[in-house]
Amino acid sequence: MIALSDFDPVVVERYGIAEETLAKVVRYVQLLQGENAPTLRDIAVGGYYGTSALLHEAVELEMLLGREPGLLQFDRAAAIRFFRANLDAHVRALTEEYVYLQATIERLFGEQVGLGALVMANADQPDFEFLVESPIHVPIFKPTASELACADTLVKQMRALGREMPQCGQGIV
Amino acid sequence: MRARYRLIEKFYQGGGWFQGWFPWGVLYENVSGMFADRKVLIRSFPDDDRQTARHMGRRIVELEIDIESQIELVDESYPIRFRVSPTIHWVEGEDYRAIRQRLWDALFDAMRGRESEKEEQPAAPVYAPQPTYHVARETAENGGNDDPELVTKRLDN
Repeated sequence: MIALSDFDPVVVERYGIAEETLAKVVRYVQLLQGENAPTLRDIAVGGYYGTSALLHEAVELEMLLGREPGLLQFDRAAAIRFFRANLDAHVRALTEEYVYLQATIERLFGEQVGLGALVMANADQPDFEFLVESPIHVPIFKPTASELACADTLVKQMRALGREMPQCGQGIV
Repeated sequence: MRARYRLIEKFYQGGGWFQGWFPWGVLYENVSGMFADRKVLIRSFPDDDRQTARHMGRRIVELEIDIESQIELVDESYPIRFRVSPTIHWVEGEDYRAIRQRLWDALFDAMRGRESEKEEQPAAPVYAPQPTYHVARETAENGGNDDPELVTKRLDN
């Protein structure tokens, strides 16, 4: 069972995420990925990592609902078709997710990691190339092997924190 | 510049007529000039989770999967089923960006083709997921035929 209190309160406030948003995100992800949607496991981690996953879906869903308020009543085929016709929402969500992850890692671990390294570590090549090709201007570069290894370690450390949300410098494992 | 590719299908469950194997992505030769540790890359619809991309990416690197490999993209324990079509196609373009666009078009064409096929069919019985198949291409050695005609040519209009 997840609740809003499991997520970064700064993000919850800034993006106006409410319990209703959380319920809509769950419904949306299940529409796209099925009842046992793997993304729900990422969100259920809670804490900073879960917040990054929740933020992605909340931003994406808000954009999509702005274009089609009835989206959550669609059947699965129609929802997937609508999502695929509006992939700019996914790109926007990726940007918000990784800018948040980057800033949180820097604040928490004192490490500056490139967006490209974070995307490759967390979501691999397909999303990396989505961002590179997107019209949204984000500073994304192909990471070196050592940058990628560093990003991989930091993302895993952040995920391992679970619902703990230590403040600056307290998250170093 | 040209690149060979194969269609990746995903098994979708519980979606009315949207149930069964549907095009999900393409596996294509790495002509990007990046990702030196990978012989192939993936272009797919991003409606899946982060774990699937990581899982496939790791296998592509560790198993040194190439475009003709008879290796599955996900291991047997993975909860989501994918399969790679045995047919190898190719695209060409003036640069990598154009190749990526052609691959995207090909994926959409395949998806639309499959959807129209399904829509034209009367209510079909629901089948259990089938094991993934992974024949890359028969060779003369195993009784097949290496005739280049087998490699479908896709031209830019």
